[in-house]
Amino acid sequence: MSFAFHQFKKKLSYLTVSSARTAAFCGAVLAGGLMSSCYAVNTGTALTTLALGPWVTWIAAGQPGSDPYTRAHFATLGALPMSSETAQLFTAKTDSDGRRLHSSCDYSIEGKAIPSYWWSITVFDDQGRLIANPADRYSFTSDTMGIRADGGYVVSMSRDARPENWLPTGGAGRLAVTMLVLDLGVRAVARDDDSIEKSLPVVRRISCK
Amino acid sequence: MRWLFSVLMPSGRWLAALVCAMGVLHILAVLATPQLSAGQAHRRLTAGMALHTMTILPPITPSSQKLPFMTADALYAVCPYDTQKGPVAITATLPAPGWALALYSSEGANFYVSVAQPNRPTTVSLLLSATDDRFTGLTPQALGLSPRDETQLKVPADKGFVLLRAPDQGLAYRKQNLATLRSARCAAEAANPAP
Repeated sequence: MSFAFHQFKKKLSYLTVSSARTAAFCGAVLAGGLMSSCYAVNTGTALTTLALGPWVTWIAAGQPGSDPYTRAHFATLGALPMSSETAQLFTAKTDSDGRRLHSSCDYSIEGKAIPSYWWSITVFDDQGRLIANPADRYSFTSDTMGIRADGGYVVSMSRDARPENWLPTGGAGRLAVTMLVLDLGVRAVARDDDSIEKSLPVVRRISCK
Repeated sequence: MRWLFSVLMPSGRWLAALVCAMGVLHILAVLATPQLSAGQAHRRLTAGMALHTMTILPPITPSSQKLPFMTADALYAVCPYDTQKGPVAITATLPAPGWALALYSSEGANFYVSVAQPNRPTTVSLLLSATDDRFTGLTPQALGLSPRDETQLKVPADKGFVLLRAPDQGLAYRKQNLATLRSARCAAEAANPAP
């Protein structure tokens, strides 16, 4: 009797351990596999994205032969970007110091205009929705931006009206700013100070309420 | 905790199997994502639009924004096409920098872009045809007609849409830009035109 009980106990213990192992294995596979794919698709990695300060762009966005991560990213997002060979869309969700952009803070976006490109700056909430505002103002382009005499520009991003180029942020919560750059194909010689990388603006936090 | 660790006993083989299984699941999830949501953005953008007709979208505002991160820096005209029903002719003028004409497949791949150059208007004239149209006698050349002054583009996708964007140059230019958008043409070519 005690031998049979001992055998039963041994079998039960074996079953418990093996099911715990299987459960741990499946849990780890599900968590690791799905979380890593979510991260690679939503945020991107160094292989699929290019990060320049707070600005991030998907290297193969919109291209027919883009990698599976880029295709999955834009399919999930539901956006239709133009091919990155011609148009690059940079997105900033943090300021230049790495702090999350939020409508409770005021920001200034400071950059220098470059004539070789057509470009625009647009502010969205972090889901990519435009922010409703009484001024019906959502973006500035290289045609509509007020450029200073030295060729630079400053965009003020805040809830309340600001002088110069003001983009209202309302009460949107977390923000995302995009900079679309269209290559006009007129640069006969690529000058160092004319590259997109060097002309991306700085996003500075001014104050928070 | 130590008990749990001893029970699970993560041996080298166990860890290797774990990494392999995670990798397989990761790859499957990434590859399946575009299949699960393929064409959703295309359908949302072209919902209710007539085939082979250039439709001008209302200015992009929070209430009229059809897609996430659709920038409000331009006015858009969209023409859904289907080359299975014959070639499609596209004609548009891109008068100033910021204007662009882009062709998309229904999966959202942007396989052709033409961008306006500074100081001179760019005229784009395209004839979209499916890769096998040449052999079914649908192109002008196949019908014995002289080729027209346009670029023939064999599209990698039978269905898709043309997106014409006019940049926001300020209110003063809006009327002029709308007129240029309206002058863009997107029409199915007759499969068997009279010689």
